[in-house]
Amino acid sequence: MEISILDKKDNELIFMIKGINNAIANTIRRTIISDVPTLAVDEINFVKNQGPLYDEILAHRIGLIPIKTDLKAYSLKEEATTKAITELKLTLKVKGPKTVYSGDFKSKDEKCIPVYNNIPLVTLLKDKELVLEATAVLGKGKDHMKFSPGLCYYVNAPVKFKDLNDLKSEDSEISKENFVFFIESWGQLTPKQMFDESMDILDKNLAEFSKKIEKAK
Amino acid sequence: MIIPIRCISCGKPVAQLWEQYKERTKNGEDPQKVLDELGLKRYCCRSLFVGHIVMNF
Repeated sequence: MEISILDKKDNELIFMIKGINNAIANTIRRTIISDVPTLAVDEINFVKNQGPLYDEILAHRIGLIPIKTDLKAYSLKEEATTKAITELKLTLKVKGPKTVYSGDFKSKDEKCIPVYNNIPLVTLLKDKELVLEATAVLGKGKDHMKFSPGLCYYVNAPVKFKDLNDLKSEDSEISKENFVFFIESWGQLTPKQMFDESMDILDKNLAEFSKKIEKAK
Repeated sequence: MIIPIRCISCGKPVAQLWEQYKERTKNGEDPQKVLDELGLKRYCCRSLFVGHIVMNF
């Protein structure tokens, strides 16, 4: 296996893996999309909601806000030891007239704040109040797409691959073992973190798999 | 309606770009150019912006 980076941006990583097959490529893709954990709001306590949106709708919108994730500090609820931190509290207290933005949230953890400060959540009229407390937890993309760290897709590279423009031509011969991977991050983690984390998770899953096979014998 | 936080199809967060898009197209800029510069390259995200109708509460 041979990996070379083709392009690198803040939230996008393009690289080529040589000498694997479709099954492995797809495993990497699926692990990144549905198994890499990130923080997202999962439970909300509404103290006051006088805005035009119902609690459920507003809660759904808040859940979709990407939150910068520190994977070392937080752990998944189902894997947590007694001392581990699993939750992050965020509070919001605003009074209209005003548009409420994701940047109005006050987080208990300075490192884990909403990725974007200017996501409009709801518009409040004069003297209308919105007071709530949200709890963010680590979760996986297979439970809800709000936990997914980003997008990952791949294409078979042409046999004579020089640069990314070659992918656009349709008449070139396609290689069956070289893949160009595109990892796009939604902001919670960097693309590199996403890939590294997916490899760790894949390792863990395979170890568990082989242990179970061992038992079955 | 208020702009969706994420793209309905690919899941990319888009709501943070909406006010910028609205402001710039109102000033007479070409929507296609604005969408390109905002980094919305897939047509799912682009359709969300082009087809969005603002309702004032």
